[in-house]
Amino acid sequence: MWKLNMAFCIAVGFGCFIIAIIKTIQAEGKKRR
Amino acid sequence: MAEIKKGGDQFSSRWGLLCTILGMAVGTGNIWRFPREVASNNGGAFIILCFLALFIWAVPLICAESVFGKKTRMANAGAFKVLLGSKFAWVGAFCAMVCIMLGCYYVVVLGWVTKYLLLIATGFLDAVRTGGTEFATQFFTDFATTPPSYEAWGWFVFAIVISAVIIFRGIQGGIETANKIMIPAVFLLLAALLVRVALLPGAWKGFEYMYHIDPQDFLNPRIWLAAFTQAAWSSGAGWGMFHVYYVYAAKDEDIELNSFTVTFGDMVAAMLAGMVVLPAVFALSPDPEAIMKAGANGLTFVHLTNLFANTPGGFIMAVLFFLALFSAALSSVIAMLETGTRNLMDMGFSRVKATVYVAIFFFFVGSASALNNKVFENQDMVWGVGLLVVGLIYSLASIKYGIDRLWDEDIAPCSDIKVKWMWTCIKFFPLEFAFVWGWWMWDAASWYPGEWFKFWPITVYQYTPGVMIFEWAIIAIVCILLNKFIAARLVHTNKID
Repeated sequence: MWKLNMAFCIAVGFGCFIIAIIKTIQAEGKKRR
Repeated sequence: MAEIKKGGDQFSSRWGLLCTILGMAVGTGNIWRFPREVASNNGGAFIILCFLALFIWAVPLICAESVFGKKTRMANAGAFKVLLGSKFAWVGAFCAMVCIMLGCYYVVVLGWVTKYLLLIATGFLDAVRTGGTEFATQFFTDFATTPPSYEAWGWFVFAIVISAVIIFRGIQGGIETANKIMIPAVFLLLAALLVRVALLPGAWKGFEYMYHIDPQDFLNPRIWLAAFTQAAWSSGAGWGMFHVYYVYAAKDEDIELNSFTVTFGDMVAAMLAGMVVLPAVFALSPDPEAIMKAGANGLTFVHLTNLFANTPGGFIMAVLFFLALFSAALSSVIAMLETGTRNLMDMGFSRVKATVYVAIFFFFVGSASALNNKVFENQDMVWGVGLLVVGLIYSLASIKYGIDRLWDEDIAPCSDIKVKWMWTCIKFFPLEFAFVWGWWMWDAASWYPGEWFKFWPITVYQYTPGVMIFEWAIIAIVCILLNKFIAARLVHTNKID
């Protein structure tokens, strides 16, 4: 159970952060174009 | 309306702003508070509730602060004057003062960490290896917690000087440059430590302790309280410092996406720290639970130091850990100093003069905390809980100005994600505040049966509701008395065009 929760927490925490960074890179790229 | 001053400061890029606001958020709350909170709140459920708190507490509050700074291009007092009227300038000044009072004692921690970083680099671990936990405990007690702590005071002064030098150099040359180096460094140092710790035999017990989940914990209000408090104190949401940094943001800065990024970046830093500290303690210590209950200072300056001293490769681990802690603490102190500086700059002072005045204030007020640990602990409680009040002020100010109006005028037009509910949660903040703040006050009262209202001497009644209200009232009264003077001088915006 703890392994499942670990996978879930890492997916949510790191996942949201990485998605936000990717969105920011895309937005900055759009602005430059 | 504020007078326009030509040629203001601005971050060189969005990444510069993001590193700086992440630097403000990532601090000791992530590295030494989060692992301890995870341990004392039974692991997994606490972390999941932290995620919930990020969405409904941190993101909307960070948006509220940021929009005030970006819209007015003035710091706390000036923004409240411009958006709500001259008679409200004192409210913004109060928010800034709570943040500055917090900085006055927080810089003491930066001094401790600087001293330990230097100690570890010069062979302190050898002495700890020989003397053990007793030596490490005695050393920290003599250094920092036995008044008058003259040596800790010396490092406190040094920490103010380092921070002031960065602020002197301005936004791009000082604050942004420092954070662009320190914040990626914090993540890389923690990631490197995580790899080393994960290879220790028995480290998995720490991961299990951190992530094990008991469904009953979701019904425990204390764990909810701890999760929301952690989100509030770690992310820095509603403290007024995001507000100050957004004074230097570009006109089309995406407040909502940036708030989301910084909130989860802060959580990632906390999770990395948790996955370093807990497995290290479980792999290396015969009694891990006792260590996790030793308090922040005991955990960091005594037990972790002792564990590093007795581990192969522990020197490198200790240097990496204290470098990460130093970078995190310094980037937060810079934000607190800049809050005072920007508010004074809005009143017409030059950056150099404003920085000197704020540094002198830090020196005089913070010296009491540096010299006497009981004063430090009092200030930690009073201004830590006071920051929740600042969050309430920002939510009420947003409601008064108009939640939809702020969304339509300032957040949505520049947002790439446009998730309105994350912003509109701000209207429920007063209820969240009542739960968290009310519980803290109730808890504090229960520690002093029949004496909860007493406040003097503060070294005896360190945590009473009486002492908290007494100290907040002093700051509020000073701000109210100076309101006319402050409002009249708040005419210098950071207008770029």
